[in-house]
Amino acid sequence: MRIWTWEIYIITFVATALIFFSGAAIGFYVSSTVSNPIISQIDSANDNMLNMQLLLNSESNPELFCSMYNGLYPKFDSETWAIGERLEYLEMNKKAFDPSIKFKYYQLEYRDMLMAKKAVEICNESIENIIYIYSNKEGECPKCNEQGKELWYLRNAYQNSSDKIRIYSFDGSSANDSMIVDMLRQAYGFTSYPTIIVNDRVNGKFMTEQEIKDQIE
Amino acid sequence: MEIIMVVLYISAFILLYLTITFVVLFALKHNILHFKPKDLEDKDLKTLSVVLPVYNEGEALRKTLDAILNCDYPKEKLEVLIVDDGSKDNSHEIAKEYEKHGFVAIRKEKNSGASDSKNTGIFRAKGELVATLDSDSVIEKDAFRKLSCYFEEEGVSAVTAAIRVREPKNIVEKVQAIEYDSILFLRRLMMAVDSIYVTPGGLSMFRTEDIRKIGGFDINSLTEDQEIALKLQKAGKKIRCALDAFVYTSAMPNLDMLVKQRIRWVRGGIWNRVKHKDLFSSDYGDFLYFGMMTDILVFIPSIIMISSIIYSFFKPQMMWMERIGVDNFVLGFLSDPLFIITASMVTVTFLWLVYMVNSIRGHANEKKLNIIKEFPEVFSYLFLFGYLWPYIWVASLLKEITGSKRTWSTR
Repeated sequence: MRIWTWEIYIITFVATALIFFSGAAIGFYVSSTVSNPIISQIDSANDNMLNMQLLLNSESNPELFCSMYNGLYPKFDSETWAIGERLEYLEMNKKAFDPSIKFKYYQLEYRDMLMAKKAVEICNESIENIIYIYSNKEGECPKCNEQGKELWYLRNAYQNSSDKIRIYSFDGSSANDSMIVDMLRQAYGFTSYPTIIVNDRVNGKFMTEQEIKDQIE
Repeated sequence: MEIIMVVLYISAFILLYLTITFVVLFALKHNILHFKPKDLEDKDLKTLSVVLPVYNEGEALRKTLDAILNCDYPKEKLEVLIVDDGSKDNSHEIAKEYEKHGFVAIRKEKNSGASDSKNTGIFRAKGELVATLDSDSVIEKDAFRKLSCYFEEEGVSAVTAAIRVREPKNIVEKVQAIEYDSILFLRRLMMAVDSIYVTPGGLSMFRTEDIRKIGGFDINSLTEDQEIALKLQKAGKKIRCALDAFVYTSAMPNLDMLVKQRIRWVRGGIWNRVKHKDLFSSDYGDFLYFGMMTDILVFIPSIIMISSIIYSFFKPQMMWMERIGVDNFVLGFLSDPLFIITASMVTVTFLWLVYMVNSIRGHANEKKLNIIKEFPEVFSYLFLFGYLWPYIWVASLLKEITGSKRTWSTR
């Protein structure tokens, strides 16, 4: 007996394809609505950072730079961190994530890092500088998720104290695609993941919140 | 896009395609649910032999025998053969007590399995029709009568009953009750494309002449009720599914026994397909796709999808919720096209399941599914029970490949 003709196979295929591609389209639409605000957040933070850089380059008034940096520090800190968290989550969980957004963010982080170093130098600020190198490549860094959590706890601990800490995350496996990550690789020579660089001291291993705190002290 | 993502998308597409296949089949052939053969008067009913294989059933056997005793099939046209398969308890003595009602108690000294016991009865049966049922099946009064009416159609060699779970108590049994109802619905739908591939041991009726011609049940098969259906399909015979001839059977009471039972089913299914590999031919029409292929097609994509879902589940998702906030977490999920596709598939399956169960409950004059009250079993069936299947398939395949001992036991 044959009821299930080729026409019915094709109708079923078309119905399936309709649902399938509608699902995919909705997913991609939501994905772009998630990405767009991140891009504008990065752009806005970059603009603020650029203004500060201009102020610093003019060198006419270091006091003005220091007072402005001090005032804007909480904003820089929270903005950059929040963007980073969202990006890391999207990247780890959504394989279809656009990497160009990440590279844009690295520029922001790098600017922020240079600015923080200048603030330490010129304004006598005390800012602990942590660089976290992770990898999202399958099997390359099984402990990265855990390391991210430890850094999150560390940052939360510093939020409640008067000491300042900046944590910058970079995907080490993207060194060939991002000039900034390549520069960091050449500067610090990291080869394994996770790598935690605490105030320029390179630790090519997983570190708990306490271990990082101990090294800072 | 990474290769794993391509594989996941293809798997999702195949699973969605198979789900839609049954929705389309229903759209085209929904009238099949209302089909009812003409009721027959007593004088027009065929003579019937009921074969009941028994092994260590004890006092529980009385329930089955009493139900047969109280059925409305004309007594002069009914023969009941209770074949004791070398029980070590008092099952045979209980069967003998019913001899006063005209039942025949047959005793086999050595235990040789249910198939052999059924064959003993089938080849001794005097009826034009023969019904086989499990020793824990409790039939409704009119089940035999309703089944026998289907044999008026030419070419019908077997009719399956509406097998449902008897008094489900715990969650494992309740999940099986939902499963049995949905299987019953699908079996009826498969009737529209002549692709029924199992005549369940709970209760099925056969034309005696036809079942003898194909040699009865295969004593080597772990699922002889499927093997016999494949033989009938091969012989070009029709199998029908009655939606109103109810029989109630016990479900597996715990997960361990359930898994063992399902491994036996799947192993039996693999063995039967290898034995009847010639059925993998377009000569058998729709049976090739619906009877032989659909569960094989489901198997590999299910393994891939479910492994991926479990992998994602074990990733510390909840920690992310805390780190980035619930709104970003939910948005992150929604931005995954695969999640949207999977969610569409689950939605279609859920609505489909509710419709199937309600349809069967409607036939049994029972209350409709209460989604809130019965949420645990519906959820378990959709999300946990479904996940079990691919692993049961893998375990069964491994057991078949390594030649592990084939056993009927679920204990």
